[in-house]
Amino acid sequence: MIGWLASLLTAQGIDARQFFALTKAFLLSDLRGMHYTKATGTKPSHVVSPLFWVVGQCLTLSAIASLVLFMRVEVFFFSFVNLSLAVVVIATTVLVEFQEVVLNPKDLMILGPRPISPRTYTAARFANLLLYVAMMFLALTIQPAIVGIGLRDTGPWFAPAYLLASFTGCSVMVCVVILGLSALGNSETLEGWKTVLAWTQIILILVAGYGAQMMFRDKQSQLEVWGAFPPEWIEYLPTTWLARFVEQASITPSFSTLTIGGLMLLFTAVCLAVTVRCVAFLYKSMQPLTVQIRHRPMKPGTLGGLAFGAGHPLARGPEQRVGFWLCGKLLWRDGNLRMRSLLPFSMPLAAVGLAIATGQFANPMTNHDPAQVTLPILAVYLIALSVPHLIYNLTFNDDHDAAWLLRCAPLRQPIGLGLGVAKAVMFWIITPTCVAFAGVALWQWGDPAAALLHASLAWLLSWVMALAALWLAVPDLPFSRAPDRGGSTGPVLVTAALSGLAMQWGALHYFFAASIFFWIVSFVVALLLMIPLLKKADHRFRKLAGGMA
Amino acid sequence: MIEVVNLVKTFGSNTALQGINFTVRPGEATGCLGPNGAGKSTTLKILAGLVRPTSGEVRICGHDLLTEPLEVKRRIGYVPETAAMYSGLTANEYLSLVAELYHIDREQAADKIRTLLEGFQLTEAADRQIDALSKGMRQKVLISSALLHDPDVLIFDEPLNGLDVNAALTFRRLVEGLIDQGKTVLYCSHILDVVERLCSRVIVLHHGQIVADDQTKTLLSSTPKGSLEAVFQELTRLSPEIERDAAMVSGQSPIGNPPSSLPRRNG
Repeated sequence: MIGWLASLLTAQGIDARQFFALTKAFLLSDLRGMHYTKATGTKPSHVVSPLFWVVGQCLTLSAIASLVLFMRVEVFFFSFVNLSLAVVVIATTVLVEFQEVVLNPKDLMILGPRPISPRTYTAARFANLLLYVAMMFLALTIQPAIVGIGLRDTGPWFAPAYLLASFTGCSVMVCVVILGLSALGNSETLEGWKTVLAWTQIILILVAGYGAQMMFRDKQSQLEVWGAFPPEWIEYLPTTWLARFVEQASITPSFSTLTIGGLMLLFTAVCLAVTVRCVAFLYKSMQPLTVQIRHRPMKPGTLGGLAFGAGHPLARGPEQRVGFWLCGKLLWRDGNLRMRSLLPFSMPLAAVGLAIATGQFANPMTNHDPAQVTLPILAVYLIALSVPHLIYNLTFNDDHDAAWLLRCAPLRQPIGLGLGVAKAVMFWIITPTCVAFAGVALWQWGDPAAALLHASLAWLLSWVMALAALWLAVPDLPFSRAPDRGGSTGPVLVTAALSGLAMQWGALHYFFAASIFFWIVSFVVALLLMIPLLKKADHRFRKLAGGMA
Repeated sequence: MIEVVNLVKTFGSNTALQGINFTVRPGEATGCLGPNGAGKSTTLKILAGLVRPTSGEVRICGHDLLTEPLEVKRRIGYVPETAAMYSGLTANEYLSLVAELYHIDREQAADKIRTLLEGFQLTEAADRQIDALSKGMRQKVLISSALLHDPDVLIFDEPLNGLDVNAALTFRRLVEGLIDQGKTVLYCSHILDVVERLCSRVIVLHHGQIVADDQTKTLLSSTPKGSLEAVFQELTRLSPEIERDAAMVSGQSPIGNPPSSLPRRNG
């Protein structure tokens, strides 16, 4: 088998020996670098890679979509939703987690001087990526392929037809993402583009969130009707074409469906070949590149200290100032960090956007229709729940080696670093969000008091969640660990526990929003919670500082 | 002053330091030598507060590292082996960050930063992001960051990495000046002739133990060749089997044993 593969690789101009050695090295370094312990601080013996959380997410998403749609919709709509979900999820995951698998700029330093042809390098990197994509593809595809066999209007050929369609969709999407990223990797404005990518990702998740909430909230068979008589624009989507193929091929394969299936495979092979060629070309062209010199003069009078602008009064003490300033600078300048950190922020944005788009953004203080107030209430708690993810992700940074400076420094209050980061997140991200939320609520409800109360509660709960994250979720000092592939999902158990708490609070919010006592109790409880959380976080950070601080 | 008593460090079943003892006095530069894996960097990391010792006592300027870590860290300037810095910051920003961490008055820090950058001829590169600086420039920024808070104790781990001849000379003069000011310097390097010229005393570590701790002059006079290289070779010699294998690989005859008249000590 190996000999046959080696001959095939050699025929393609790939050095088989180098290919196997590189593939093994890439996979080993990835898997060894992804220990669950590294991302979550648990024992090294628990070798559960965060990658498996990504696969778990894919399995959960596809299971929910398949089961919710089962026996409710026709084969076309079932396939369309599941294929769209698979394509969106695989694209976002490659964007966030595996963007450097194919063309890692650090490889140039290590492999650049070696006699490795661009084609061999690219083939090895693709084999590396193939493992991750194959795992995600299977996790996203197997359940719909099995569940779909039981649909009303399908036949025995559903599973192979669906597998082929999903394979085509996922492969082509991966190629598109890789080509896009590789092209940007060669650009001088890569950092700027990464922000665009981060927000593209958020919009993609928003679209997925839209579909998900429709499924759960559809009481009048609107979903079935929409699926049976879809709007015209849907015909322009590639996943619609794939779903139409599944619809036709699932009962009895005809000559035309077999031909289309063959063409789909051919198209996928061409896409993969083009992508491999383009990446190989880009790798070759990147080799003589040098680092771009960026001048960033400090503001007059700030040399010797850290400039904060409007955030200055917030950061107390040198530790907080350092945490606040570093967080602001690194988030602003490091596109990867921004991409990883902003991901959880997509959910509250999706909830608000969808609620407004679908006219379900009523004032929970005056309206008790669950269909009208669920999303605005959800948005309040999702804003707060995005904070633990944000703060968790700020532990990981490409410049993690530089954290020796923080460990060597005479930190009187190590928690100050964490609080500085939390304050930066609150100042730069959460406060503008809450202000925007208040503005939207005021516009929609016309009730300044209700808008202010909801935004204030979101802001206060964000603080509670930030302190809870500093205590429970943060595995090390800020920016002190290398980013892990699959690690941006964060500590799952902590997220689940905090989400459960927030949802209980949200339920009380729904029932008692009209009562002033709910608001008084909520604010008081949130403030009181901060006291023990701050103490716990302080204790945790003293331990993280190695007991030497 | 650095006082190390019975310092032990184990990593799982590996013992990196086997109860070492030494003292470095103010106004004295002590070289720390040893082959790869001897425990030099571990010792320096413990002194810098980066690694917690398994047992033993470390006192810096009279303060115990374990019970008064902040007092110790305030008094130490550390230059690590690798120039790991936040590459997205500029040299000015990085040094300002260090000033903040060490609670230096802003105006004083600004003056010191300007002086250090001028001294290392980095003024023009001060507003460039660190990822755009050359290796030598980064090393200069790193050294500047260790000197910024005017520490009493300086710990250098391969400080000349990447420095050109002029910068290395500047650095040497700087260290000589620091010694004259009464600072305590612990200098770890593989460049033996710099250690020979700069350090009045030398400690040689081998397999986590101190195998020599004496005045440089005494060590030099103990070998016919009169060089630290010969001292180092004698004290940290490989086993005859490994030497023979190494010689076979390089196609040369095994290196002859130098005379064994050196002052040795254990632990």
